[in-house]
Amino acid sequence: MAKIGRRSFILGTAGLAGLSGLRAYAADTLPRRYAGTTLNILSRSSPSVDATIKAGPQFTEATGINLQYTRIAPGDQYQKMILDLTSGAHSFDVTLFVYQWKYEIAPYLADLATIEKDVPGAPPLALDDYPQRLLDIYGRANDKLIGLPLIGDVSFMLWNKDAYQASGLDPEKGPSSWEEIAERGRKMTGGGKYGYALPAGKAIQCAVTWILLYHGFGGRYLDAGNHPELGDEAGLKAMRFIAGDLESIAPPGNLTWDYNEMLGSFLTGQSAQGLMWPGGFASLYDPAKSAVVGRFGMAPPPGGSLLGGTSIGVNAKSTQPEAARLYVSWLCSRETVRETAMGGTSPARLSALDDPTLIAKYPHFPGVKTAMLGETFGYIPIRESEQIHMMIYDEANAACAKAKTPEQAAADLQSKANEFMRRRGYFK
Amino acid sequence: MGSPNRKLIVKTLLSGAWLLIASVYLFPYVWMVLTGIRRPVDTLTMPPRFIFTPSFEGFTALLREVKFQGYLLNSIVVATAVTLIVAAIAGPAAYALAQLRMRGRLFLASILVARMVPGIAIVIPIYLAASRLGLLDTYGVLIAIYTAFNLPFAIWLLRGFFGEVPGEVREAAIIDGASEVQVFVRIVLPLVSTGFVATGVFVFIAAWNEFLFALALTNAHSATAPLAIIGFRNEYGVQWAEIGAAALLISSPVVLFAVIMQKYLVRGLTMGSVKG
Amino acid sequence: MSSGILKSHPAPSLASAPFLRARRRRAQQQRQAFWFILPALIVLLFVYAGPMLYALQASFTHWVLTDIGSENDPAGLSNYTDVLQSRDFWSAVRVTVTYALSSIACGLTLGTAFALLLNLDFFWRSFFRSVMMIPMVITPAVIGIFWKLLYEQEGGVFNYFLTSLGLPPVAWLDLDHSLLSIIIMDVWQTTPFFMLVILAGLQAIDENEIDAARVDGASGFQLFRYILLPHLLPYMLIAAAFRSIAAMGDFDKIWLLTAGGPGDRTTTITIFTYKTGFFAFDIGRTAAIAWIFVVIMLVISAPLMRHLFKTSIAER
Repeated sequence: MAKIGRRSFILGTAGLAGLSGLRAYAADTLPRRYAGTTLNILSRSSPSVDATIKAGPQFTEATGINLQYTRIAPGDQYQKMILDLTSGAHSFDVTLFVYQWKYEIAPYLADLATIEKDVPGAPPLALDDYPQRLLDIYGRANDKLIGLPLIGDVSFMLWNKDAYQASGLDPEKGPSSWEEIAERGRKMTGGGKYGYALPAGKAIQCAVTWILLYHGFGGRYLDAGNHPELGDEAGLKAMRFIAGDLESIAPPGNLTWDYNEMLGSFLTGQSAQGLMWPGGFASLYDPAKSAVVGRFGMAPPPGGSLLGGTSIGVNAKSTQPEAARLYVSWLCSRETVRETAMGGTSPARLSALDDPTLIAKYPHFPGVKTAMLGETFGYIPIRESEQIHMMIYDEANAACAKAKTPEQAAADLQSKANEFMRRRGYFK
Repeated sequence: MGSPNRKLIVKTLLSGAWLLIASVYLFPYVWMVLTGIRRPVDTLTMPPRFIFTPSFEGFTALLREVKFQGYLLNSIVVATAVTLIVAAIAGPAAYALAQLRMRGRLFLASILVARMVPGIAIVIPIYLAASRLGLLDTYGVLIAIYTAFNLPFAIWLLRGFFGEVPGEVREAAIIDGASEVQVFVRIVLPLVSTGFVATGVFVFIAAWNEFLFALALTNAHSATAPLAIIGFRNEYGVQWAEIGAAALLISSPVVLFAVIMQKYLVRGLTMGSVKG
Repeated sequence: MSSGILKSHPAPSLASAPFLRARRRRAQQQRQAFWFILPALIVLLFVYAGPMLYALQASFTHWVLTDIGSENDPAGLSNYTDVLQSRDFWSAVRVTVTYALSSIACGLTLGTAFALLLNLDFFWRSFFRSVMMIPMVITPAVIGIFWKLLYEQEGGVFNYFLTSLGLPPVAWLDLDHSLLSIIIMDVWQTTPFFMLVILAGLQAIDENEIDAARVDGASGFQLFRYILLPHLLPYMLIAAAFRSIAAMGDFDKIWLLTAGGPGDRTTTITIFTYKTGFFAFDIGRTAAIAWIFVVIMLVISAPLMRHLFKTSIAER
């Protein structure tokens, strides 16, 4: 059968140049007893993981283990991963995942806590090098350590300093409320430029935007009896805001936008404000790609910062369990994380966030660390949170597309979520 | 009288009219071909640039990074296998329906029913069954599914072709002492060879173009060509050069096939729908 | 020779050797015929009947793929009632029916027009015929992805031509136009099919009839209405019937062009089923939708099936 390697994205040369001086985990101490095996890794096509893939050849050279990546769009990964895991097909030995999926996939992932014992020669896990709360959220489910944090993501609001200046706004002062974002955005919309890079596609970033609004307006997901409160005052306000204030200052065609497009719109200077995750910051600093290098500001979003983040886990049914664990522990080892962080993958390790060489290249690191250790809120705390997200983005997309009124969208979201949670037994 | 001249003028005018019609109608196809052989910037700027420097960057990216050859190979293997197997299975069945006196009503009815069932109705249970049996992402599962999909239409078509063979041909051979199988293989089969070619063309095209089951059931190992086209999005937008190149590579075989075999295609179409 | 035991049979008597031989041969024939159809029967049973029965059983459970053990959770008829009462389902039915009927109406009209034109005498006729077939055989998935470029609002070719003719550009994939856009895309792909079928019908017409009518002074229009049209009607019906069944099952090109959006404006039943199964992983509900869909399809195609069945039995 023909093996197909999906296309991997080659980063700009800037990333490569930054790799000098930092080596991944000492190659000579890695065991070679799994040489000749191939690991299948389910990864993302977004630039935030490019550096992890670029570092791959070092691992192959040191251990003789071949790495085969499948990179798919972030919006498609949930589906692909669930189908693969639940079907027992074990097409992937290693998979990336975001923590809101973890309860659904926990039964299918291997426990990584004992790697150092199970795989002699594997790099130390150094679990205390992560903010403990982060490690819990990203990796622990049902008393198993099913994932190691790979990308540390806390949401930020960005603004284009040049656009601010051009509209008479103080470029050093970020927006302090959503209303301010909308108001400033309106000032900066015109002549082919827009005020906010709103991802209104049926994809997670749309849901993220809505959630930030909802939380900012006081929404708190569930009431005391576990009933969802997504259509309440905060939910309705969020729906109105996203479909009205934000959509009207967003570039046309955003009804299919997800992470990649929202990043692209800000870094080309098309939109003056937008949400971003540290994973995308590397592209923003890359002069080969970004039109806003050195000209953007960042601050936590008004109303609270959403904790995102990607972990990496091992398929419990993998045919190469030890090789897979070796890879995962290598990729998340302190040294490799420093190297991939240099290449643009936002780290979750404190040692990386504190590293002066890295901070010199990525001045936002201390901000990220503070945000991670500080007050952040998460996604809706139920097992099937991703299903709720799908409802959120379906309705928000419909409202932005004017397929229904925000009132209707909020009501539909509430009834869908309510019915779903009742069917799954969260309440009678 | 000028009549032959008038006829000539009318013919020329009609040909000219058809040239116009065809150009307008096929414009989307032409545009697709153009997109594959030029740079994205030429594709996306308006007014459309019909004069441009050809660029094959889409193709090189396709072959080097996406490894499109793998997809293509899978498609070729699957489509060819399906065509041959369908011919082998549908042939006897169609012959039996057309020529042999049998209580075939139930079978006929089930063929008709199967033809009406849309793929989406069975894709999930097939996915589940295939995953339980460990058959996901193999050639075998695709070939089996596509064979079943194309059987009803193939049997239908071939039955029409077999029906054109007079019953006496078979009866004469039987009286001469031949077995049913011998009659089928030695005598009747050669008479319907065009029918088989026509059916084969349809089946090959259908198997080549199939998307839903390939999407649901395959992965890195046996993904077919149409699946190659869905991943070309990144933060810079859609990569039209690659998509154009892929579209060309995926559709060219069937287009060529159809144009070369058009006589059979038409025969099959009219046989299958007109002859009831 | 027997007396009156066999009623209307002029055949030899029951006890006569030739008759017994014929009977035995017929039975033998039936058995051999059985072997001829057996492989096809097995394949169809395995791929169609098996999974459909499996789906039927699943439709009575609350099976969700990510919920281990839920396949044993009985649901009775609740999946079916939920689906039949859900607004999303009926919206999908509406979209599907609109899509199918509109594209067939347009395709039939356009295809007939092309067939009439193609039936005339001119140069390079067979070249044009084969070239017009191209849209019919292009991979539907490719068409779906590609027409996205054509429909692009700001840089798309269609809008360029519209604006150059002085017309306003159209937002092809927005709320108001997306359904129209998928219909246009389908008409483009299926018109050649109608064209070929009607062409076959035209070529089967008796020239004498036409000449006689001409001699009688019939105008072109009268010719069309009173002779061609009645003759072509069965061809049109068959083509329309087949195409309507296929149209209801269309997935690839719609999914890749709009993914059912914006909102659910272009969500057909197939897309609805696909999303319920592969995104919400609600297997029980998906199976119920699938079965409801099959029943709808069988009901709609019953007249066609009966017609095909009867004509094929009659042929023998």
